[in-house]
Formats: sequence, structure tokens, C-alpha cells
Amino acid sequence: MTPVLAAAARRWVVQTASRPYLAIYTEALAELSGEDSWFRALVGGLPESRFQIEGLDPAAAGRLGTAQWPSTVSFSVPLPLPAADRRAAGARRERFETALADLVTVLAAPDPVSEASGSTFEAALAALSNLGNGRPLSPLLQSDSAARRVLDAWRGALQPAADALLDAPRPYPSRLSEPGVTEALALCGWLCRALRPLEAQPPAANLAHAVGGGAPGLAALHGWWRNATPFVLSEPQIALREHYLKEDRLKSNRAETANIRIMRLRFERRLAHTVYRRASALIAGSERVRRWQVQLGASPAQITLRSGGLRLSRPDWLSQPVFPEPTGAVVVWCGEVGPGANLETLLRAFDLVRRRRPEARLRLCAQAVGHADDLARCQALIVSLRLGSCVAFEVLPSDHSAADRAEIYRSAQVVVLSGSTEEVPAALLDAMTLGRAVAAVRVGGVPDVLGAAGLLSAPNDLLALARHLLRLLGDAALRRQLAEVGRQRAALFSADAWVQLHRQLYARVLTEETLKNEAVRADAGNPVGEFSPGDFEFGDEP
Amino acid sequence: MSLGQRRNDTLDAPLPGPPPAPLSGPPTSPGVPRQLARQLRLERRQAADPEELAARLEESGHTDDWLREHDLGDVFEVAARLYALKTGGPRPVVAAPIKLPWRRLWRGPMLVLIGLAALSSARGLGVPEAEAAVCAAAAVAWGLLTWGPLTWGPGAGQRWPRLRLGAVLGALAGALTALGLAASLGAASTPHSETVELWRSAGLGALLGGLYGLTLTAAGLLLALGRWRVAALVFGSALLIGEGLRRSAPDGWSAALAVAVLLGLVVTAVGAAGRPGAEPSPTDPDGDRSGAVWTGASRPGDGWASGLALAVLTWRVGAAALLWALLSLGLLEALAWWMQAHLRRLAGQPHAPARLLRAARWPVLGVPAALLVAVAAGSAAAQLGWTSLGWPGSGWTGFEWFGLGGAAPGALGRACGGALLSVALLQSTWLARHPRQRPRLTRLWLLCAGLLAAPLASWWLPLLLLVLTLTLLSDDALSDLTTYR
Repeated sequence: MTPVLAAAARRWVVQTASRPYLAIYTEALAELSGEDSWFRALVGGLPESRFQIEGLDPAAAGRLGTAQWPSTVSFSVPLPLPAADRRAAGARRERFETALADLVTVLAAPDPVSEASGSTFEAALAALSNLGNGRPLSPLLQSDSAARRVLDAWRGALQPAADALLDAPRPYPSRLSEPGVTEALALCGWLCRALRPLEAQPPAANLAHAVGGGAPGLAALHGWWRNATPFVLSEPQIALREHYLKEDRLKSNRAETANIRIMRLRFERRLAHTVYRRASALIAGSERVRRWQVQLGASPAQITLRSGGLRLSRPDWLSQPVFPEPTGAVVVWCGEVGPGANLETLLRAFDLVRRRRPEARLRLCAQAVGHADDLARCQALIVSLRLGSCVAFEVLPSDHSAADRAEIYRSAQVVVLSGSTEEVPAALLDAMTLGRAVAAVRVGGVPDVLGAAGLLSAPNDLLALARHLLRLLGDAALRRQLAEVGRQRAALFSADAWVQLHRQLYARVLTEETLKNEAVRADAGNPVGEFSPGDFEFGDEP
Repeated sequence: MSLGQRRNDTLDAPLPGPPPAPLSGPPTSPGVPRQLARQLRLERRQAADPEELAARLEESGHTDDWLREHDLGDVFEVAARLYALKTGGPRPVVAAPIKLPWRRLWRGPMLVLIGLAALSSARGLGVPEAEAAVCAAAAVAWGLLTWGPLTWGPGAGQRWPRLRLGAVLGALAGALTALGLAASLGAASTPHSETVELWRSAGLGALLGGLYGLTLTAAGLLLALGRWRVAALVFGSALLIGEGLRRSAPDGWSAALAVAVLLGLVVTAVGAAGRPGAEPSPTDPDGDRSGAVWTGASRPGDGWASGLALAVLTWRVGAAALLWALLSLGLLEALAWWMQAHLRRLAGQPHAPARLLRAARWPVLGVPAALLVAVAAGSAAAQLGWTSLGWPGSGWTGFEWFGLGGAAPGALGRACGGALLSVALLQSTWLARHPRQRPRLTRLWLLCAGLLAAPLASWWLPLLLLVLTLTLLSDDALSDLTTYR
């Protein structure tokens, strides 16, 4: 059977099936299999649906056991494509290079946020999606002619056009300098990786769900262009924002020139803009994520705010009664040691706390250590502040269980969160679910999740943090009150609520998209529709 | 309770006041935007778009609320205004100086040491199949040494498969060589005993070829991993012990001790190569992951083709040709690395491709030309010095081959031949960095091997043709922008 016939047959099977067929695009395959993962809750809550996991990272494929999943879940990882396609047909190569040149022209344009160039970017990306779709793009990108086209387009975009000279001055000063051949080659090399999702053949699903706006978003766009598969995008945090800040935090790729960095980040911004415009629905992991999505072109009507991102409260912990507090004044911090954790503020604040409450103890439990230097710095600070007698530092084994974490939180009177690179740290919901008072900083989606269930302070404000810790340690009634509110709020983040949200969202998107398709077909003089809204009602077993 | 509610539903705890932004001045101070612009001057210069500045503003504690208190709008509005401000433009990049990777010069002598250690242990065994097996395994290891997947990042997971491949290919090559050797000797008296003898030779050749293939592949891995001292220790000790035993061991024990030396060499070399440890950084010119002659190949074809040409040349003019090629290999690699580094630096400047091509011809064509002149002149000068001083040893064929034996006929031709061989190896080393050129290199070296084997008037003529063709190929490679990667 030829690939065209096979694809048509697959599409027919999908379209005539009454069980919704969902493609999930994600880069974090390993996170799906956790015992309290959002995906496990979704699979359990939507037994009438079939799920096809499209892993975008081939290296992570081995980390996901397939035997432990029900039969409604299947997995797919990208297969290596034949690389030796250097002598691509002339017409294909020409189309590819034209699209590539358009893409680079948009990225190198002096105004990186103009609306007009957004459609050019999308058209170029759609053309590349058409050229990929089961065929490799890397050989085309790594060729001499591609590098020349990139160089020409880049230089052309930096030259002011004759008519532009007569117009008003450019709104923004150019950050890009004249590129060299090395930069053209580096950009082609980076695009090889960035455009990899377009090389796969997207599944002919009824609906796609992209987790994150980068590569998963591009894969979902690819499915939309190729198979008109509508997609939902959930963003626990804005990947683009993380990339902006990661550059600063890590100073990672020193070999990368400023030009390449700017082009790369502009590509990601344009991609985010395109994904938001094409997504049928967006799930924002926090209020901040929602604001960023709107800023980057999403329609506010499309966005559903689901504070907490992909975090769910554990049902087994919620159903258990609250364990009694320990008698000692124990404060627990649990999380990943790194620059975002801001342990320095916590330790300095605790130094103030123990002056008032010498019996207070701080228990630091590192679930992971980002960098050995961070750990060493933290331990050195404990020594220099002479906190050795009242601060216990432990690194949890990588295979620690949820019960181990529960034991740690239960040993505390107060759980503290001094900072996090994540929009919502896992410790927050865990502490709330287990009925412990929380003192946290106002970062990311923490205020959305915590609500009235804890005390919030500004990041880096050690005096406020110390004051909150002292207040909580000294007021048992307040702790009890916060714990009760926290338990109630944690129920809002239960798996049931999560499933209900997705059930409604999927049903709405499928219905809307189906009606939209019908309307398009009717306009095109083809009233015989292949879909009807009833085909995709959730919960209808055939 | 709505999940969207925030901040105003927090308990009436005393809020810590404004965020810890390092800004001063009262609210609505006109100096705040200016302070923000100054504070973020580096970020403004390199920001890809206004949203990047918004992210940095948020990260430094400048929330919407705080900015609105200062009548500045939300964080995105402030970021757009900051992004529109004039900046100092991109900073010029100061290129780091290109250093010649001197440590690579040792690779040539190391290869000679490894070869001598293997040959010494083979001689100690006292069977003709042993030396043949060393030659066969050396050819296999040479090919694997020049194989890109082997030399590019031979991670812990890839080493053992490579070692197994070396052992299997070595065994096959050893068996075939031993069969050829036995057939050519033809000492057996009856057809039956001849068949038995052939099988015995093939078995012995396979065994020894496998062992030497394993050892020499491990040696290649040690060089690729930059474990010079370990390689020198293992193979230097094996050479010394093997030679010492060969000269002083009791008659009845020499073969058994030679077997012990061989097994010891195999175990230590393989153990050292398979041991986990630090791998050279890809950016370190001395410990560059290439670690071997050529890099980036998907097939070892050109490595074996050049090995074949060198073998034919050795057969034609003597072992000194091979010795010269091996000894100079480190220098040639260093020069090829320098040429490529120079090209990368040129390509980093904002030249148009045509101008880049003109500028790139100097290092790519100039370095081989300079090498040709230097080697030829060096040989001639040494020849003059040798003959005028009448130093002992000047009659050795090795010196003659390099043009040092003034009395020998064709000494000048040999000097030119040595220079041509060096240039061909240098050009080949540089061209092999570019995957598109490797099939061409394979064909060229095979053709050269064929011409060398043919009874032509002079053996250096094929080398001259090879150098001229490689020069054309080099010029062609420069017009391909991917060459500058």
C-alpha cells in the first residue's frame, strides 16, 4: 500500500470511529509515568478515549515503560529518517530554500514583533511542514545552498530598503550585526534540531494536546497543517520566558554568538505566537502564564486558567486525616537545590528566626541538586552563619517515594518555600494536601495556588520571611486554620477536577472544530460532511 | 473559591512592602524609567525582543503592580519602551588566538612505538603467521582509527563494540593473510598434509589476528581518548620486555614467554581503553575528540585506501616510507587542524562568500606548499650536511630514501617523493574532515595504490598526480560553505 493510501485509510478509520483519538505531544516522557502524574489521571478519567503519546525526544523513549499502561494508551517515538537525501529533487530543494529564506528574513527583520511578518513566518513554517512530513529536512538544511540562502536573506533583511529610507525611522534599533558564514551555518545547524518535529508524519488524530509551546507546539501545528487536527495547548509555564532567563542564569552556550542567540530566541517567540494563534484552546498554568500568552498573541477567550499547571493533589493524601503536628518548632524546606530555590534568603531568614526561637529547627531536604556548586555554597553558608546545630541538610535518593516525602512534610510545623524556577513547586501542593501551614514567596503561580492557605512574602525579602516563620511557629491556632484552608484548596487541584476540566475542554474543542469544518465544507460546495458533532461526544462508548 | 483569585485573598499578614528592586526615589519619580534603562543597559543591548526585557524585569522583582505604582504601565509596556531605546549596538567579538596543538606531534612517534611493540611480540612467537597477523591487524586498526564514529566521542558505551569489531576484523584479516602466506610457501609434501597445514595456518592466523586486532584497536582508542601516558606505558613496557626476553630468555621458554607478553599486552591495552574516565573536551585542540588521523567519516573507506597505498609504497621503496608517514602524522594532523581553525576564523568575519573564498585559499593551498618546500629543502640540506660530514650510518636505506644518501642514484627524487607524500597526507587529512570529500578521497587513494603497483618509471609520479588532484579538490571544497563548519 502506498503511503498516500495508507494515510487516507488511517484517516478514514479515525474519522469513522466514535471513540475520540487523542495525540499527546510532549518532551517530558518520563514525567508521564509518575504515580501522581497528570497523564495517569487523564487516562484513568477518560477511559472512553484512546491516547497516542508522541514523544519528541527519541533518547527518552526507553524511560517510559509501556507495559504498565492500559490498552487505550499507545506510544510513538520519532524513528531515524534516512539521512542521505543530499540530492533532493530540484523543485523540492527550491521550495525548501524559499521557505527558509522567508523564515530568516522575518527573524532578522528590524521589528521582531510586527504582525505583518507573523503571517510570513507562519506561511514559511507551513511550507516546511509540507516538505517534511515523513521526509528529512536536515540534509537540505546542512547543504551549501541552504547556507548561502540563509546568508543572503539575513544580509538582505539588515539592509534598509530604498522605500524604507523615505519612511519613518525604524521603531527599534537593530541588535543584529552583519552575519558571517559561520553564523549562517550555525543557524542552519540549530534549525535542524528545532524543525525536527516537522520531519515526522503526524498522527491522524481527532484532537491533539501539546504540553508546552516549544517542540510540542510545533508538532501540534504540524498536525494541524497536515491533518487539520485541532489542538489544545497546556502550558504549566511559559517556555519562552524560561529560555530568556535560562540564558542569563547559566551563561550556558558561550560559543554561541549574540547574533545566533537573538535569531534563536526570535524563532521561539514567533513560534509561540503562531502556536497561540492556531491553538483551539489554551490552558494557562498561572495568571502570569495567562498574561504572557495574551501578550504573545493568544485571544483571552481561548484561555482557561488552571492554576497549578500540571500539578495535582494526591487523592490518597487528601483522603487521610491530617497527622498531628510535631511538638518541636520544625520548619521544612523540600525541593531542588539551585539558583531558583533561593536558599540563601531562607538560611539568612532562619538565622533571624533562631535568635528569637533558639529551639527552632530547619530541615532542608534536597530532592535534586542542580549543580554541585549550589550545594557547596549552601553548605558553606550554613557553616558561616553557624547554623550547623539547628539546620539539618539531607539529599534524598533519586528513587525516593511519595511516602518518603509525606513523612518529611509531616515532621514539620511549617513548610517553607523560598523560591522556585518552576511556576508552581511540587512541595506547595504536597504541603497543602498534608495539612501543613505554608510560608512562601510570591513567585510564579504560588499565590494562585496558595490563596489564603499561607503567608506570602516578596522574593528575597528575608525580613518578611523571618517574620512569617516566627508568626507561624508561635501561633498554633493560625497554623491549624491555614492547614484547614490548605486542605480545602488542595481539593480544587484533585484529579477529578482535572479530568472534568479536560473532558469539557476536549468536547468543546471537538464540537467547535467539527462545526467549523462543516461550515468550511459547506462554503466550498461540499455539503457531505465526514464529521458530525455527535461523533466526538466524550463518554459515548460505541 | 476561584483559582484565579490571587493576592487579595492572602491573610492579613503584614506585607513586606515594595519588592526589593534596587531602585530609589519616590513613586512616580521621572527618574525611574531612566534608572531602569541604565540598570538593564547590557540586557537592552542583547535582547532579542521586548519580551526578553519583560522577563528580566519580572525576574528582578519589577512586577506589574510595582510599575503601575510608578505610573509606568505594565511590565510589557515598560519592556517595549526600554527595547525601543537606542543601544550601543552589538559588541565586536574578539577572536581567540589560534594555537597549534603541539601535543599532537607526539602521535606519530606513539604510532611507531605501538607498531614496534606489536612487531616485537610477534617476532618473539617465532611463527611466520604472527608477523603477517600484525600487518593485517595494523591495516584493520588503521581503518578503524580513521573511522569517524570511532574517533568522534568514543563514549564508554561505544568502546566495547569497536573493540569487538577490531577483534573480528583482525581475526578475518589474520586468517586470510596466513592462508596467503601458507599457500605461497607451499612446503607440504602431500595434498592432504597441505590442506591440514592450510587450516592450521588459517586458525593460527585468525587467533593472532584477533588478538592483535584487539590490541591495536585498543591502542587507537587510547590515542583517541588522549590517554597518551597510559599508551606509552603499556606499549613501551611491552616493547622493552619483548625485546629483553627475545635476547635473553632460555631457549625452551622463549615461545611461552612471548605468548605471556602478548596476552599481557592484550589485557592491559584493552583494560586501559575500556576503563571509564574523563574524555577529552571537543573544544580542546590538544585533546580534540578527533584524537586520530581523520574525523567525521561515516565509513572507514578512505582510511583503508590510504593504508593500501602506503603498503604498496612500502613494498616499492622500503619500510622507511611507512616510517616517515607514521612519524609525520602528528605534525600533519596539527597542521590540518590549524588550517581548519584558520578557515573557521575567516568564516566568522562578515565576509561575502566570494571574498571568503579568496582569503581561504592562503591557508588551504599555502600550508601544503610551504610544507612541500620545507621538507624538500630540509632533505636537500640534510643530504648536503650528511655527505660533507661523512657521518656514520649514512648508508642506511632509510636515510637514502629521504634523500640523505648522496651517493645513491635518485636521491633528489626520493627527497621530492618524501615531500610529496607529506603534502598528500596533509591535504588528505584536511579534506577528510569534510564528509562530501571522503568518497573522492577513497577513489583517489585506490587509484594511487594501483599506479604505485604498476611498473611505472618513477614511483613519485603517482604521488605528484595525487597531490595535484588533491589541490584541485581542496580548491573545490573551499567553494562549499559547509567546509567552513
